[in-house]
Amino acid sequence: MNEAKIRERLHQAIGEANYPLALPNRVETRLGDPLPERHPRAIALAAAIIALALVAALLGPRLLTWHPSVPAGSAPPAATPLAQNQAAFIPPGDFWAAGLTSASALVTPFQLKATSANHTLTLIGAYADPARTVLLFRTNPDFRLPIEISFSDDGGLINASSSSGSGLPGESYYSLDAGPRPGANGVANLTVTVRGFSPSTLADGFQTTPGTWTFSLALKVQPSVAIAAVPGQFVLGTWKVTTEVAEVTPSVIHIQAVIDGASVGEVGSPVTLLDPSGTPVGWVASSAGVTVPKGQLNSTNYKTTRINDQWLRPTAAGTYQLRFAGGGGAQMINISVAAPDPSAALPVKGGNLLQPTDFPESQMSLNLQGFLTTTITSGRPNQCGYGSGPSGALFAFGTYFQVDGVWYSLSLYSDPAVRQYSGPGTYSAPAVLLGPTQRLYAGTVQLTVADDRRPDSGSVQGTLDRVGTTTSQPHLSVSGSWTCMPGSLLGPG
Amino acid sequence: MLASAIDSERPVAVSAMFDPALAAWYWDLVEPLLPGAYRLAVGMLRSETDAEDAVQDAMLKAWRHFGQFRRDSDLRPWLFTIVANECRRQRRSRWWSVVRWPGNPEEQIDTPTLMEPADADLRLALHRLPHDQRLVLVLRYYVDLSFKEVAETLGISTKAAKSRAYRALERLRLSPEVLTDE
Repeated sequence: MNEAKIRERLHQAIGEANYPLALPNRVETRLGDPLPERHPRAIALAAAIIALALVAALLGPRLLTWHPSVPAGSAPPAATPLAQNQAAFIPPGDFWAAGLTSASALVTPFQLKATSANHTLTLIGAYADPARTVLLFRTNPDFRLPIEISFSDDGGLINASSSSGSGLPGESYYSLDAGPRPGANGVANLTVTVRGFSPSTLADGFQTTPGTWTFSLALKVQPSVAIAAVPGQFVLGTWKVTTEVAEVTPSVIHIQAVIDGASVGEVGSPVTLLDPSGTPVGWVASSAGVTVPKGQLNSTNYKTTRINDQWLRPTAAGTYQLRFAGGGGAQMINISVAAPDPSAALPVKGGNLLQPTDFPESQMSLNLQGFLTTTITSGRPNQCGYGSGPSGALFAFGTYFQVDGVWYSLSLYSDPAVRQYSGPGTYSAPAVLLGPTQRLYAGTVQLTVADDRRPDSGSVQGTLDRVGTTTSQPHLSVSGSWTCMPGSLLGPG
Repeated sequence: MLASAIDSERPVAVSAMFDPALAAWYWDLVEPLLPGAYRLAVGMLRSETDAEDAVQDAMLKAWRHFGQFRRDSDLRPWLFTIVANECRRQRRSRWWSVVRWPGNPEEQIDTPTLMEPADADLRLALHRLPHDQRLVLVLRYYVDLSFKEVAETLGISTKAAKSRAYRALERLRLSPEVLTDE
């Protein structure tokens, strides 16, 4: 199918976009708002900031003692024994973004700083296994990592595909789809060179700004387990597949193979991983390339392609299926994947999915008028307490509550952009009311903190505006008092 | 894997947001890009309402960081990256405390009723692709960007963008003959 046909099919499938002529006016109006609407994610970040602040307060001094800042280019720090408390200094959101949640305890924390072009890049953590090398960075001011970062070890340059992305604001990860070559002690000596940066904001435009940051570090390469069920060589229709690597690492399932009979353009996606229910597992990395330098390509070897596929390691043990398809043939291989070592992952508060009833009940007297007209006498707070982070100090309160069998969530936090939290008092607070599936109301209210020592208490007063057209009532007023007890599920404890 | 994201929620000084000259300049640059941004959001999301929300939020985010924008730069790839991130934000669950509700809204595909069955299937399959694969197809074949522009938006090389598109098309069973640079 040619590209014109593909374009036509996708246009038909998506349908035409009817550009709303009022959109420019709406955007322009919102740009004029002195306090732009906050998103639930902002509140999420606020909650994360609170959690981080607590962790930093508890662990920071010890961490700084364990890992003093080391100028780039100086002798690499020795790989350290890995303790859960150390890695806890790295935000969980960064682990999640980098696909390291199941191996978060295996991330070695660092505090390696390098400054160039008035930009400071701090390597805050690193992880390696035979399939991938992941670096976690903090940038100041906030900027994006360049597409290419050079990795070398004692064996020379490591050439592989890569990807990058953001964790929390100002933090990035860079993932190289290859592991470093360790010495006999299982530790690899890595040199990482970052050249040029891309701006993270419009502040610096889009053009890469020159600069060089170099880091040297010693990094333990986590062991992998070979997948014996995958044959070393087999025929797939008209193709011949030679498996170079089939392994399970603490973070990924990894298949690397050479396919004879297919060019890079023809090979497509020959390997799929299916979970025990038969559902395809999404790739974390997938690349295909020729096996010789471009200058050596000829009419024969251009039909030989090396593929490298990786999937995040499933959290559940089970029999998974590798499906090889291509060349007119298909082969299914059952593989048994063990659950990740529980000690490889830092504990996640409450697990990944929390229900309202997972949070302890707390007494309150919140009056709602409008879409909901009721007095809430009991709720289940999911945010409670104060903390500080890059945005400054704030206090956050959030609670689940139930009306007529339906769960809602009210979240608010003192806005540090208006006034830093400095103790009990009244603060301007962005607030949002969430329904079962979406935001229903949002706005700014007055949050009064009467006591921020366990149990925390205070009151709220204000009116929220409808979001979208999901309800008939344009406003919802909120007033009354609340209490909450900071705990392990609520950020500060 | 997540593409490079510009997702900052950091507040900026309020004074910077009310510089009239800056606002005018920003608006001059952004307004012509709104139709493309909206088209991108429609391709990524399931409803035009969500798309409009995403575009509005993205424009606000961009504005928050506009204070020191360099005039010789191309705004579109960066702005589209923000729009794409907003679309992803709208689709994904909050990671900080997710509640299980009966039924999963993510699975409620909004399929137009007047669509041919094959188109509806394709639309469904498109929305089941991972974000990055869906994004590359929408940018290339719905917003009609060149692969160079797609690559700039995704923060990857042109070759990687083509490879990603190739694989996404394979998953949709739209086997491409050749991917041009145009």
